[in-house]
Amino acid sequence: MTKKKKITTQKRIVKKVIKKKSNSKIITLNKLNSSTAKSSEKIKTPIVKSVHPWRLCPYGEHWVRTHEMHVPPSKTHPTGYMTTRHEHCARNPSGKDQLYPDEIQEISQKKFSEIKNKPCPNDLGFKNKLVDGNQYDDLIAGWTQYWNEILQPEIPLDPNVVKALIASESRFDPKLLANKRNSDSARGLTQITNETRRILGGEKGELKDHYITLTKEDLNDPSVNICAGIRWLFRKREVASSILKKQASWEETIAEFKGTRKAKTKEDKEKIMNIYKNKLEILKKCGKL
Amino acid sequence: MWKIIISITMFLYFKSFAVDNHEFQLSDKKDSLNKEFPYAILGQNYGILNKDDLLENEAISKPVPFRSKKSYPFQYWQCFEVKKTTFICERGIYDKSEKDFMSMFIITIRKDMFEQKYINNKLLNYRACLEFLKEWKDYTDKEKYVCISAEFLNEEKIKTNVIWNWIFHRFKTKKGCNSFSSHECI
Repeated sequence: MTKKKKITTQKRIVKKVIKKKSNSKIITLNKLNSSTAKSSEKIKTPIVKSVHPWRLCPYGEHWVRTHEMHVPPSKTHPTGYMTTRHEHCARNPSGKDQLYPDEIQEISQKKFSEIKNKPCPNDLGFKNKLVDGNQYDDLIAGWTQYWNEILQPEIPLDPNVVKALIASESRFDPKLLANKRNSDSARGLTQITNETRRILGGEKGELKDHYITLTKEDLNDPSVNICAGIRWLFRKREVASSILKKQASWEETIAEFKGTRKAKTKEDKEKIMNIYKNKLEILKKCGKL
Repeated sequence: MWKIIISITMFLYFKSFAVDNHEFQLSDKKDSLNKEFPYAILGQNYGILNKDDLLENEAISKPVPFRSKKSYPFQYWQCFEVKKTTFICERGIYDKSEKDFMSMFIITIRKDMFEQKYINNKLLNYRACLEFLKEWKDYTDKEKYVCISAEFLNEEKIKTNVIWNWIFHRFKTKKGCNSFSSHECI
């Protein structure tokens, strides 16, 4: 082996990715013995990011469920043909952590039924033929826990805050469109606008990591919408903190989420916030006199 | 002694705005809709509402008697003379992502020192508000009455004025039903 090849070999870094079905993590990189390497040839160890234990793929990849796909025409198959593409991990174009609807739905189906920290099981008066105020408690609990564990706020987000937010924004209507004349207006349980959807997907450069990639229609799915809504709530907390020059409380964050800062009068701000606060007050009293 | 008499008089005067003595109380029990849906309409409906309008509200939330001290998600209908209503788009601060000023629409009905205000549950851009204002005008043009369906938010007392704040959902005239959001008018 030539000297050049030896150095190349020494510079090679072996990365092991151990993937288990129930617990995916990226573990440490191993570097070759660099005792013989010169200081100018020092091997840089990349920072390895871990993903939440509920995720099905390593960092930088997202899970795609089994689906049918059409193979385009070729010489051997002039008309093309249908095939089954089995579930797999696909690379994220951004290289960052990215959630897609398939994985969001899979996580919520497999992981959320046993979560303990649920919102108060009070339907807030929404209990009839079309609506059930308790219907999304598991999804609220699951995604609140997920984002609390990923983003680690000093004061964790309370699932009751999310439930009160949903009640005030959409009255638990998963397909609500804020302005029926404009399909880009706020949509679904947490009322995400099309502009917000694009920001969450990393299109605008506003978020640094933990993107969520979805279409407008995906926002009609309750699990997808709640996942995205909470992610957006955390972003609004950053914005509120920056404006206030201190760590924003969750109430200040909700005000930022609702855009009350842009209202003309203090009275208008209070009215919008009161819609939410009335609901939260009921949930906070859960089971107590 | 005089102080007591004045206090009692003032108390009775302001109590007259309370829901128990209010003109919006269901005094007209002869209307069949009122009989079938005893809580759903505060006052008269002037032939504008039908059974489906009331069933729609019951499909969302369980009907309960109206109380001005408590907010509840059940929507109540009230009908007013169009000439006594005002609809404004209150313009706020500019929002870069909306590329417009944010605003709030407020429908106000005033009688003496009692005011009712209907607002949207969130801010909307000014263009959208003006569009909805135009629709309000189209639906109420040459109409005598308009009915509004809303959830009660709260009661405010400012000096001698009493204000009831409502979260607007939809309105209806004899020309039809309209709303700002989807899934409101059947």
